[in-house]
Amino acid sequence: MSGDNLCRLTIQEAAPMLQRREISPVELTEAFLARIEELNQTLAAYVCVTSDLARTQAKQAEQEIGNGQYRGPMHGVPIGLKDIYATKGIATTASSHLHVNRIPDADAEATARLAAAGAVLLGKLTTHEFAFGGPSWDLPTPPARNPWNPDHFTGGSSSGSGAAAAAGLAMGTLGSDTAGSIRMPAFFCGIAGLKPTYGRVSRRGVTPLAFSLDHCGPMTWSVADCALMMNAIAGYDPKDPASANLPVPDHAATLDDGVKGKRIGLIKHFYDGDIQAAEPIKLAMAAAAKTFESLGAHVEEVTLPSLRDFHACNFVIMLAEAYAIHQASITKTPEKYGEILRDRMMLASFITGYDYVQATRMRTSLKAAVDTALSKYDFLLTAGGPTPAPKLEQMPKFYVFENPLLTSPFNVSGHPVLSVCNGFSDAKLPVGMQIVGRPFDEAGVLAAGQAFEQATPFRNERPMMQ
Amino acid sequence: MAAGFCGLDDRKGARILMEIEEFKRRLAEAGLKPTDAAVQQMYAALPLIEAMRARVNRNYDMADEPAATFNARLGQ
Repeated sequence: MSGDNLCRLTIQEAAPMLQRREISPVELTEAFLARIEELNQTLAAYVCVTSDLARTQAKQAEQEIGNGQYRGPMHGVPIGLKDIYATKGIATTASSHLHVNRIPDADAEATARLAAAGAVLLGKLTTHEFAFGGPSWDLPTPPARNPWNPDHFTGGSSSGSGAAAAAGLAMGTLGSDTAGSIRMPAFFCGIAGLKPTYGRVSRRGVTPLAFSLDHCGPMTWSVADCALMMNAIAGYDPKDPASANLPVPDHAATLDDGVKGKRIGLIKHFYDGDIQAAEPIKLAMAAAAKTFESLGAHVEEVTLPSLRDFHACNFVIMLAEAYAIHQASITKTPEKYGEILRDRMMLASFITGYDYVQATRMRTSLKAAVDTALSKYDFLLTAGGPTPAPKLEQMPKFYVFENPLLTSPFNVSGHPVLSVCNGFSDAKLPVGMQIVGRPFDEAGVLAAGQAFEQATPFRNERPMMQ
Repeated sequence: MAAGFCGLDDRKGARILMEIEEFKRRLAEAGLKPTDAAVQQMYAALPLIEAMRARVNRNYDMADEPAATFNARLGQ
């Protein structure tokens, strides 16, 4: 199998081939390293490629599999990590001059779990500075670019994770999501991205942006691959105070359960009322609702509080928590921050303690509203963003304050959300939608996403692959 | 919006005003030292922050709990 064909494989396709020794982790890793060498200058997805480590891990995986010590579907699978996941002995910079020399002495919990599952670390992936400041050109490395058209934005902040998963520069990646940072790059890059329930995946060792809103999760080309990565990273971590001590199902076991008989609430007013999404987004959502109905689901409109309420709640809490984290550094060494994050954090100083508490009181009622909707419906469905990816250079410094994010509601509520591709614009840029589930029902949203993916043609073409 | 003022209408129509000198003073009090250009850009964006603040500041009942209510079981 040629290098590009190896890089086209999903984890679900590659895992049994690795187990049967039809392909080796070494040849797979070499194929990805060669592709990164070829494309990273264009896409800037990686800030650091750990070639030596990857080759060592791949060799070890090859020996273990050869000795009958197969660990499971992630064994020998090349992956990348957003550069806020701590990696022992490897720089973890958060794409900031402030942390450019930071070498952690321990892995993040999710990093360690993927290593224990036998995954091969290809390198660290571009992020907006501290998962919030970007896209910026005054950071240690440039912003990632969209594989569907490198003039366009990947979305943020897990920008490198989105670009790498779409372009076949890793079989799977991890991102983080505080207001949509997994789901926006998934939307703009046309991939699957799962923001799990708050507490499902450990945040320990992941550079925080806002403690009560941060979620860690997988970003992959296919829905099934998100399920396989979740099986490796989900579960209780007693050293993460927000971690949920609950059993974790096999997310892959129920992937093909379908949506027949399921009730789906379509939150249309988020993208056609509270804000006005572009026409391709509305058309793709209407088509998606019809697809789910054709699969046996019952879809009807549901009303939640205004998207602007969720967005304000999300950002007041996020800015207050982020400012608490960065206040000391931003006053002492402002020159070590990029302009975008520095100025956003300075504005965050205008959020008061009173505002923060009021936002958390609002959060209680907003979460209850989502719970109420999900007591009637199995899933909620809404758009992932208002437009296809804009041009990278067109992103204003304060765009995240100006335009409510369609992803914000579920950082506020903590519910699990899967972002999947549901179409393309005339300019051949992907668009996506969000499937929202009940707390800790990641398996359910993955099954719904899988049913949609299998029923639609949006996985047929991959960017930068002939 | 009056020149030299940063203003907005919150959802009840109340108007919040802050002169740019007050804006600069509060940044300085917080120990922040932005450039003049950054001050101008941030001041122009302040209404966006104030709109979000206005939206979360509602007439809550005295007993309405925050989502961040301390739970002694956490961390056990």
